[in-house]
Amino acid sequence: MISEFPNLVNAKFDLRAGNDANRNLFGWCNCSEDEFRLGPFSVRVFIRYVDIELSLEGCVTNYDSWFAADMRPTSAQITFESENETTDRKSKKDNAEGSLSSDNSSGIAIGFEQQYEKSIKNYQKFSLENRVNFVVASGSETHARWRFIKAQNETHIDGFVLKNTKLASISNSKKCKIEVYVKIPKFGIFTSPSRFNSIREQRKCNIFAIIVRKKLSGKYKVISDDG
Amino acid sequence: MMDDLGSVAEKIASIKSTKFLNLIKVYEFDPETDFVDVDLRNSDFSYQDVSKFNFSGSLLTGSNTKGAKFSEQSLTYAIFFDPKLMEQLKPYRYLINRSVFSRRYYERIANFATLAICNPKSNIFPIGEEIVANDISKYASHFAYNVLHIIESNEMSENTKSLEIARIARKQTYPLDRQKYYRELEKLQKMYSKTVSFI
Repeated sequence: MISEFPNLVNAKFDLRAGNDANRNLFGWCNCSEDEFRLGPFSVRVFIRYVDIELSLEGCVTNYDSWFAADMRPTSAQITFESENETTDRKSKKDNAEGSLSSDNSSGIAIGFEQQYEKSIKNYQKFSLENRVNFVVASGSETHARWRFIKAQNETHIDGFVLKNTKLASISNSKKCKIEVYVKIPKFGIFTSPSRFNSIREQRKCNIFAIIVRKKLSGKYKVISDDG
Repeated sequence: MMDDLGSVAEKIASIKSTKFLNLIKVYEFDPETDFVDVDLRNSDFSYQDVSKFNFSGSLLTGSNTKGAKFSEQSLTYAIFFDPKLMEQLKPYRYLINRSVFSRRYYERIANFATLAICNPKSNIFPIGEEIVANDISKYASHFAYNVLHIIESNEMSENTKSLEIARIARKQTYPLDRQKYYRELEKLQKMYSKTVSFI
């Protein structure tokens, strides 16, 4: 996905027509440590978390249940945030228990219809139970975001976070612009110099690594579909 | 992105001085956010004012910090010493960083005294040795030397060592800064009152 870092976030997303007049968003995303060499510098890059964002623009929802985002997390905690005035009726205080169920691929899937309050306590509980990547999802009627976080016992995400996984189902009844982004937040990226011959070189390489992190963080559009 | 990085790499490679403030001139950085959680081991901060930079969570191990001025935020959250050691001494990170990097010698002494009273164990040796070897104040290096000597003793229990360090901390007299030194000790005593009740 990022040409200089083919292993760091290797992601592919597509919209497929479903049997039920819906379009389904499928995702495939593999993250791994990467190395970047440029001139005298060699920098190791790895990520601690990565966001996938789905945005549906230009439609009036009238609170219809026309959009449902699904998770395929191996453990999950959902935060539901109001993104705009139309969804303010869904106050953060309206919490509900989530249902965890087995998924075909691996781990657990969680329904997205309910709202959940992010809780540090629960977060720790989930992440302690699993050595696998952790997902935090948030959304409204027109936006959804999944954050894949490294497993607690790992230093970075290594392996698949999505494997041909259905992320969302969007009804064809409403015309809208669908955009999907992969976002790498600055503090989700770690860089460190991997090779140097002297302390002077290391100092330069340290600064270069910080620049690489700064350049690399940001939003990468992976789908733009006008419907 | 590659082209940009290529030209930046050339610029960095051609710089002669590797002092921190010189190196960062090659790019527009945000001092508040760009240096959080980064690897800056073996950097040269000597005699530089880096108090505008936030190094929280960053690894600064092995750096030359002589005469450098760090922000309170960096002093609290940056990792200046071996990360494994810092993990062991996590509750005292505040004291450790201030023992070495506070601007005033009496603050450094008070912080090291409190650290040693709270934790009179050999794992604070690297910090004490750093002070003995590099502190520009004779008072601070002499005090650290005496504290290490007490901790090294096989004849005292840990509790006795703490009491002895507290005794010599109380006895320090710096004619010009005596009151400030005692105020700093009292402040630290309040912060660590559960472990230090005898200063």
